[in-house]
Amino acid sequence: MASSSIHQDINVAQIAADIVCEFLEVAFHQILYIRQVYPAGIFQRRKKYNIPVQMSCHPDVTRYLQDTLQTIRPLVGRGEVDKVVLNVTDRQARPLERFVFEVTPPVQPSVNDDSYLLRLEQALRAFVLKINVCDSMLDTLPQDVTFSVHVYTQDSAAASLEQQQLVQNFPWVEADSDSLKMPNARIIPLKTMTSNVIKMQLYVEEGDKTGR
Amino acid sequence: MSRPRRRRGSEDGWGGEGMRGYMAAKKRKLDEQFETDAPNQVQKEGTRSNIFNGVVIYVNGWTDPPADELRRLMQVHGGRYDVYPSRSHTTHVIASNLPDRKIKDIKDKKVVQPQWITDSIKAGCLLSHVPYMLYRRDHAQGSLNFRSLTRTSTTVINDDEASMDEDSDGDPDGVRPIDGVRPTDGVRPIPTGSPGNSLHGDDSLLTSVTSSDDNASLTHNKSSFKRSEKEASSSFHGDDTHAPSNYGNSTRGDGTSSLTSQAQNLSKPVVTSPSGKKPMGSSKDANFVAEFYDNSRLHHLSTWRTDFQAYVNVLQGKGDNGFPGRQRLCDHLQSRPEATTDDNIISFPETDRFTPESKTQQLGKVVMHLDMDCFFVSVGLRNHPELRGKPVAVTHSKGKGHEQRIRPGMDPGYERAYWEKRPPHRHSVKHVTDNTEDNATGGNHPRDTYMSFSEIASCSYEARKAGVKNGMFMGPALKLCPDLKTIPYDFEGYKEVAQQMYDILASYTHEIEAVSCDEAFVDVTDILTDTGATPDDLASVLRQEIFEKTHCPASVGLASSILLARMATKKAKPNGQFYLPPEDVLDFVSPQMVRELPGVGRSLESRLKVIGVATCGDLQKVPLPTLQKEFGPKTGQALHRSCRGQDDRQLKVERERKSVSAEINYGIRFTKDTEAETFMYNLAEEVQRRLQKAGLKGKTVTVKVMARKADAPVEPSKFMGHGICDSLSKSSTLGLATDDPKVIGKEAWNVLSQMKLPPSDLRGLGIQMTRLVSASGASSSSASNKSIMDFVKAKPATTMQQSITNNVVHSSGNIPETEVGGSVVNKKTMLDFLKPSTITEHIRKETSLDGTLGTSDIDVSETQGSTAKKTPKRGGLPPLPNLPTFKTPKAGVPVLGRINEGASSSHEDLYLPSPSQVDPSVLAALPTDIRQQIEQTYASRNLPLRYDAEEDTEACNNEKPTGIDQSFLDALPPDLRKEIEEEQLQKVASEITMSNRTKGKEPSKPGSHQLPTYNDVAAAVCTTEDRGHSLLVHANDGRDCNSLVDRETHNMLQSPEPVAGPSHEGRTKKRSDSGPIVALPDLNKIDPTCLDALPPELQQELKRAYAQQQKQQPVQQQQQRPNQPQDALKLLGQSKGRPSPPKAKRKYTRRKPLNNSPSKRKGTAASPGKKRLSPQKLTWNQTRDNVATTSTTEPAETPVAPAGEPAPVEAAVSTCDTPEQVQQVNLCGRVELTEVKDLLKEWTHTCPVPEEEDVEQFVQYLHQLILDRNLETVDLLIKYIKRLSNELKTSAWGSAVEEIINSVQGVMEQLYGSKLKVT
Repeated sequence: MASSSIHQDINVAQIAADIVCEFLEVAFHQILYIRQVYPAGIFQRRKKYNIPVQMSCHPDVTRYLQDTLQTIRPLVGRGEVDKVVLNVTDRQARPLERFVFEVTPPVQPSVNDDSYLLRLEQALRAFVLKINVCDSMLDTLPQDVTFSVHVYTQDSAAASLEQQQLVQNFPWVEADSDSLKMPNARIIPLKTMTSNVIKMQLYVEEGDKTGR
Repeated sequence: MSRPRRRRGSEDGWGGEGMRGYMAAKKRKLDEQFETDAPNQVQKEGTRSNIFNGVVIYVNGWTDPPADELRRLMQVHGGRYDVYPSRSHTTHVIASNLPDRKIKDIKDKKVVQPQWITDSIKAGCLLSHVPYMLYRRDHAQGSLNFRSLTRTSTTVINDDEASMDEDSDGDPDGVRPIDGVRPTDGVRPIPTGSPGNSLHGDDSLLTSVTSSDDNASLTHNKSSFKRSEKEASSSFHGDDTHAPSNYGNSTRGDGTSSLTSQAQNLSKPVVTSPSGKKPMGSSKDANFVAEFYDNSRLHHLSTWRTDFQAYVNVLQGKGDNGFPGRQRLCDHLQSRPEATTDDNIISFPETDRFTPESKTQQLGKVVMHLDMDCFFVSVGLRNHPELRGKPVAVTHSKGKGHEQRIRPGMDPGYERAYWEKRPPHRHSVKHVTDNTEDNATGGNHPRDTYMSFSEIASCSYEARKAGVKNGMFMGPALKLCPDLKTIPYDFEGYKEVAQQMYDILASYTHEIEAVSCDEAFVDVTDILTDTGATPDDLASVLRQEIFEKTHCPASVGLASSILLARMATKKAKPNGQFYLPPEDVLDFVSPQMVRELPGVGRSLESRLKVIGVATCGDLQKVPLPTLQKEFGPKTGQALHRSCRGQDDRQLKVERERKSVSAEINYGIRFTKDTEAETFMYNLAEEVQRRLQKAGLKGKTVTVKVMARKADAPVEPSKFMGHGICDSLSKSSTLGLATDDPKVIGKEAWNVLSQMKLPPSDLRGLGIQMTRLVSASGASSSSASNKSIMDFVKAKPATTMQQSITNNVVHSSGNIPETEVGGSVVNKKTMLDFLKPSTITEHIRKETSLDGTLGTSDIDVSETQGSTAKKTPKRGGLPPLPNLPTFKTPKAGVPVLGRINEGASSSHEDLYLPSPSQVDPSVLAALPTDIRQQIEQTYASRNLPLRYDAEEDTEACNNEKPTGIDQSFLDALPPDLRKEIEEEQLQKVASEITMSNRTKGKEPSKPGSHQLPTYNDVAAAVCTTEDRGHSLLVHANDGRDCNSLVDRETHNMLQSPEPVAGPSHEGRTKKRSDSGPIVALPDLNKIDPTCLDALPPELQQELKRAYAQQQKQQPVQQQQQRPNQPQDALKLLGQSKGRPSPPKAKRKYTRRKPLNNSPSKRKGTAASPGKKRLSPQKLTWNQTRDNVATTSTTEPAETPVAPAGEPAPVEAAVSTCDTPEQVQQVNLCGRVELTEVKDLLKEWTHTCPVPEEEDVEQFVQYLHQLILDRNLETVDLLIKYIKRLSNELKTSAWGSAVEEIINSVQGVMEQLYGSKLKVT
């Protein structure tokens, strides 16, 4: 295959990790905006994937997201991340909505069929757009909410995360079960994409907000 | 004032010393103020005296009169006043009341009540401060019984102290003959006749001393090293010229034996001395260390200083109950007021006698330095009066020397070259010059090989005149002084004499600083004030008394400071006394060599020599700035002062022990590591003996190693000596202070092995313990070692007590196992143990023990007796899995702490772990008695503990139809249990519905209702674990499963498996191997996630087993996607041996039944109630059905490999999927969402009643989508079909859709833990 030889030296997994983390950052900001976790005032409109997206310009929020993704990037590269969850919680850290990004490494990672990643970009764009409309599928959140990012990974990966701390002073802790349990949760699938670079789906676990 | 950090640069304006510089400047300024202010005060007062000359006070706390007043008084009366306490300057601390902490801080100072000053002023003279002492020193170290000073146990403080003995004996003066022979122990007295006939005596003497000297010289190797240096250099060079005379001299012994080597002598059968039994004791010998110290007695000498210091401390602690010596002195003065008692008194004529009052003012402080004259010799001569007046040396050698036999590996030439290269020693300067001549003349004379490596410990002044020096080797000494007689060591005598000397001193005063066994500084100011005697009177009386009691001469120097007193003694020697009046200091000091000054060693001496300074007079001419520039501010200052005789050091009456060590550099020859290891442990025992004797524990273990220099000969010239070595040391700090020999030994061995030295190169090993704390008082160490548990765990004392009682009751059987010999410190009785306070104490220890690695059993062994010892362990260590280590405490205990660490950090229950923490297999493996004990303890606390759960797991599995061992469940934490129960209920429910539903179709197999519960439970656990802990089991990742199950056993579960992961698999495997039909669980009992977690080969095996079980049933091959949790049945389906490609559907075969056989659908239309399917079941049936209906399977398309292609059903939106992919999730070949939708539309529109098969197929498709992580499509399709069915408004479709949704929700629940939101 002549075309494959061109990309042989490219580490697809690494590219995929970069793309995923980049996308997650965009998506997280977008979710925070859409779900009104933070007031719209702290967001700026930027362009990504050729569509307008909202990005928080609050330094702490931005920093947190950046650090989070920075630390999990190697894990994503090794395919050790199972899910990345944006956990929207109330003040008592009880989860209200969980935006679950299931990331699976494709079976045959290659970029041959999408050399310029155009289709990938389309897919990601579709993701973002879907996030933009997820509001309509979800119940409104209470006023006072916050969020956290969870990563589902293996024990060994978690250990390596601790060992090779890329970002100083940004340690990961094991999530306590309270922040994971949502009674009567319903899953709202949002988006799925499959490519030879990334295989990813996004769904929202929505807790029973009325019960609270 | 904390010690400030030294800063670089001088930008801070204090000479680059930062805070220190500032403080120094401040002190200086305060001093100046004091000085300048003094005349004013004097003027104001109108009087002036010099009462307090030399007294420097520091006022601590509130006093009456206040500090200001005291300061004024001191100004007026000639004293000094320190605003900041100084260790070296301050003489007295004035205080009315001191807290204990401050007392400890300033314990080496005299703490005096302010009345001392006022009373002194009233009396017009300096009164003795003793009655005014604020406290006695009875809080000091415990008493030291000299009688118990045995040969075997000694304490070494600092090795280099030994050199002081030698130095003090090294003064070239005569010795006085003394009468009186005392038999020595262990050594035969030398016959008093002519030396020539004393062969036998010489031999025994030689042997007995040889080993001891060797050993001892090695013990304090620094001094011996130094000595051997100079010895060697002189001996090698002096050989040629002096050899003949040596041979002539050897007639004194026996002509034939004169040439025999020491070694031969040592091994001679004639030898009768105690050390002769095993003269060549090898270091490999287990008893080597003990024997070494049994035989080596010279090392006592270095330790005696400590003992005498301790003795002095004890005396001081007792307070002054009158000093009989002072009375004697007064009597003496009255009887012979004018006489000088000794002709040897050198006294300056202008020294007038004063009346007591005026004299103290004149004299000020007077320090006496008392030194026995060539101590070893004079003590030895008590037994050999015939040798008085002759040159005598104390050594182990007979003095004949020997022809050097070259042992294999020896290279005398190398060593000689080495010694020559060393800088010349001050004693050997002369010899070096001699030697150059020798070399020129003698060349390579055969006598070159003559040498004796026995050192002269001390020699008489007669011998010194001949040029013999202390520390010389015997060979060269004999050359210098052919008449040199040798006498053996007399350790008992030394001890006795030293003791007497100190007793005498103590009868005068307690202001004694013990320097060594024969040397002491005494502050005699008080005595002189009290008795009104002159220094000379005192000295002569004292010397007389010493001589009478010990028959040994002593020299005394008196001066105003330690430095000058020492110099004065030099002048007084031999057997004299010298008082240096303050006004003659400069004259006296000027001719002294700089070498005599404190702090001036060889290197500083040579540096001084470079700038042309040899004597103190020279040094006085060097200005201070020059000195400071040359040698640094401090050294320069010190030199500047000391060369003028200024020395404000105070007597150090009390010193704290800094280290305890044991070191052996003799006879170390190892061949294997294990030998070295054993040796370390033996040495550690010696250290322990010493620590215990001193009542201390050490925290830092320093290993000192002498390793053969890389190019040094394998065998040194000295028999079994260490030769030329590199000295290395390395230390390691333990978590807790200890005196446990095992801990010390282990640590020492660790350190040693880290050095990676070949065992054969080891020549000397030593263990030193530093950072000492008192063994008895946890108080002294408690501040640093306090554990948090102290504060937290005070309350549960009652439960502790209970558990401890239980343990104690049962522990008797195991006592011998846990007993660690030797440590008897603080043995506690059982009763002690039951007191809550002690319990908490032990807990504290226990917990801190957990936290600190490596030292776990120290505390226990030390603070508790044998019985008590194991109790807190049992009780205190949370994780019972570690219990087996009790069986081997000797070997395993230090590791214990490590093992426990993780678990113990989180224990809520201090004494017993929660039952779920108990690994049943471990428990089961325990000896019965221990197990009973644990059970009973648990029982007493109403906690269920099922150690036997595991044993019976297998049986239970087959017996209990419910599938889960109830006991196992009980042992689970409540939340987990609940979850499993739910799981189980669900399963049972689904099983029932399934069996109802499939009654007609599928005859239930005999095995299907037998529930081998292990898999169920494990599966349940897997899923709960999955949910609860954010862990996801990846298919085919056995490792993952291991860690998962591992965790569960470790953290929360009483798992039925002792070693969870592997044996989990192993168990399953075993089952499938042994009897697949009988033991196989029903298919839908298997949790897919669990199955997925198994390694591929195991999966294969299981599948095969199932295939066997159901081989008559045709099954359609399902594709396998290893990377995702998958329905177990699909995996299993693959193994059925029928390669049935998933592509079957691509043939669109399914469409025909859909479209063309409505009758079929009708027939199978079932009641909705019955259609509530368990997902697995549905899948199962679906697959069968599919295969049955698809006859056009293509064998070519074989089942996909485990790492096969993904099977994405790509939603229409996601355009980047690859259309050419063959194994996509499809519905009858439809992959794209729109296609599928079309199909569904067609289906619903064509069929008024959905056929069950079709429904199943659709559900199957949805399941695949879910597994393919394509929830979006699932969602869309469900919504779509719902909409379609709503359009149709038929109950059949409605129920069908409901069934579909239920099924999907079931799968969702299983995989994601929640259901889809279907509106």
